[in-house]
Amino acid sequence: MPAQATGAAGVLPDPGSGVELRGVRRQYGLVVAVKEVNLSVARFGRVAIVGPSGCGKSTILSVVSGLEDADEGSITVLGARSSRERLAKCAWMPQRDLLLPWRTVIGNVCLPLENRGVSKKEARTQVEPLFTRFGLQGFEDKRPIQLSGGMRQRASFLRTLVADKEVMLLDEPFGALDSMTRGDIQMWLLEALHTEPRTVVMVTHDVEEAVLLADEVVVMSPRPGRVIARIPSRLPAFTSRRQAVAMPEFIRIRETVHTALET
Amino acid sequence: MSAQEPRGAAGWPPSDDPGGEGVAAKTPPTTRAVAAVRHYWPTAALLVALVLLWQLAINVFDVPNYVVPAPSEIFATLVADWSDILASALWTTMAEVIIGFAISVVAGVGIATILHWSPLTRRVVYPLLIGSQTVPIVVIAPILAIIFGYTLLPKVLLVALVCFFPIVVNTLDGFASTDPDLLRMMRTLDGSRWGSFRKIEFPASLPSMFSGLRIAATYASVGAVFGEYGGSENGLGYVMIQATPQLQTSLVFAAILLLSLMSIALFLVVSGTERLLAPWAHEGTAS
Repeated sequence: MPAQATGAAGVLPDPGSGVELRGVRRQYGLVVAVKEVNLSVARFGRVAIVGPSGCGKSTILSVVSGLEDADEGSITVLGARSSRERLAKCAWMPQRDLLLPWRTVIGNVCLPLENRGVSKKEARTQVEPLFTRFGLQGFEDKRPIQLSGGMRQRASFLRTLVADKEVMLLDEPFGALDSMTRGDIQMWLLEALHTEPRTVVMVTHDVEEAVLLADEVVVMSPRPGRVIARIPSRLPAFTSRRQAVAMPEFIRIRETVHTALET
Repeated sequence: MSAQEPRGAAGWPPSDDPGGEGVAAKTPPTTRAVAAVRHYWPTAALLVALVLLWQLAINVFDVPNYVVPAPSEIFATLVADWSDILASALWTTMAEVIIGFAISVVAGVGIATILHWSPLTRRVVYPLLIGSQTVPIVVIAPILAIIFGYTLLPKVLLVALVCFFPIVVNTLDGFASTDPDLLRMMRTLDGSRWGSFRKIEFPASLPSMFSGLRIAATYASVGAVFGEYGGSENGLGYVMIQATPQLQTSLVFAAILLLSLMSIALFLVVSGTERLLAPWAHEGTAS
């Protein structure tokens, strides 16, 4: 999928580094969640982190986002070093859609704009076209509970998109969905990222999802998590998920990741 | 997937929603009424049965009505004494309850907000708040009557004092039990501390806050009656305390009945307000 990278880099200055982690350590009480983590994500690159449960995958996203600080090491997000500055550059989307039940779907999507002082009416006008573009038209004024899991997750993603942060941190974004919905929404996400390019760091325990969505798969060791393998995942152009997973390249990369996970 | 790729976002009309759940149908009001009847008729039937049993017991055992009046007797008193005594007593007590309750809601939510925002204040004030609840309301009533006389004020204050505590505690719990991930999400969406409070913590606290309000609603009339016991010239508590030594027992019962009905009404108003302000809280688990 070379179109994304070139298309986006042309618009923005300084390709430079998107996200850089150097010797990052994070400890909760006596438990060392991650240590000596080095990670580098190019601007508009997409990295997927896979690893056994509890290896500190989510911790990495928390410290990158600036929601938490690392105990050791340095983190740079588009040149920003302090947690406060990082927070301003990162959007974070966890497994649960975290839509506010007391707001309508569009009210939820408007939230980042309202936080920036945009009036409710103006925010709505800005966001409405996105509903059509991302297949949520007609559901603007529904409550989140009235939508299916897949649609809620799309609304949540839309909200993250509206936040207009260049770096997007996705923490098992589709983990709560059934496999069919999941396959569809993965394609949807690829398309969305194609039209709205972002630097993506995502965590998943689904190796196929990692290979499909990312251009590099990072494998972590069990706790305390360290990066044990970095596997490029560049696939030829594909039009459907089925087509992608049947490609020899896909299978080869997937097996490489599995092998790395087993060591 | 490249730019000329025709599928993807464009191929996502909502009708293709793989879950197929789409939008939940809204329940029409008539169906809800039927459901309510279906839900409450056993309670109503039990109530009617108990009242009939009461009536029967009084008749069979020939209990004098100054000891325990029959339901029919109470009802007769209610009608006979309505315009002279009970109506004005009811309005008096109702005013005390409503004003006191309103004060406690504003003060309770306000103080809970302050305590939530300032951990220091919470640490200092919360123990005192709990300590204050160990002073029985019965002993405060006459003291307030001494200070403020036989006016509306001491009753209103007493109602507010009784209602205040459950509101503060439950509202504070509601604030504190906000899903931390929602707050994290809000931070990554550039939400300010105040914005997070207004848009997340406050609405999230509503169900818990209303639990407190419902408890307070049932306490309110108790506060008013104690206030009137402490010294008053009108009100349902005043009627009771006047009628008891005169053995007008059915009047006492009639006053109790009105007091209960008033509490139930207040409870229903609070519940209705909750359904209006936090309908999502009754829609099952969201997010």
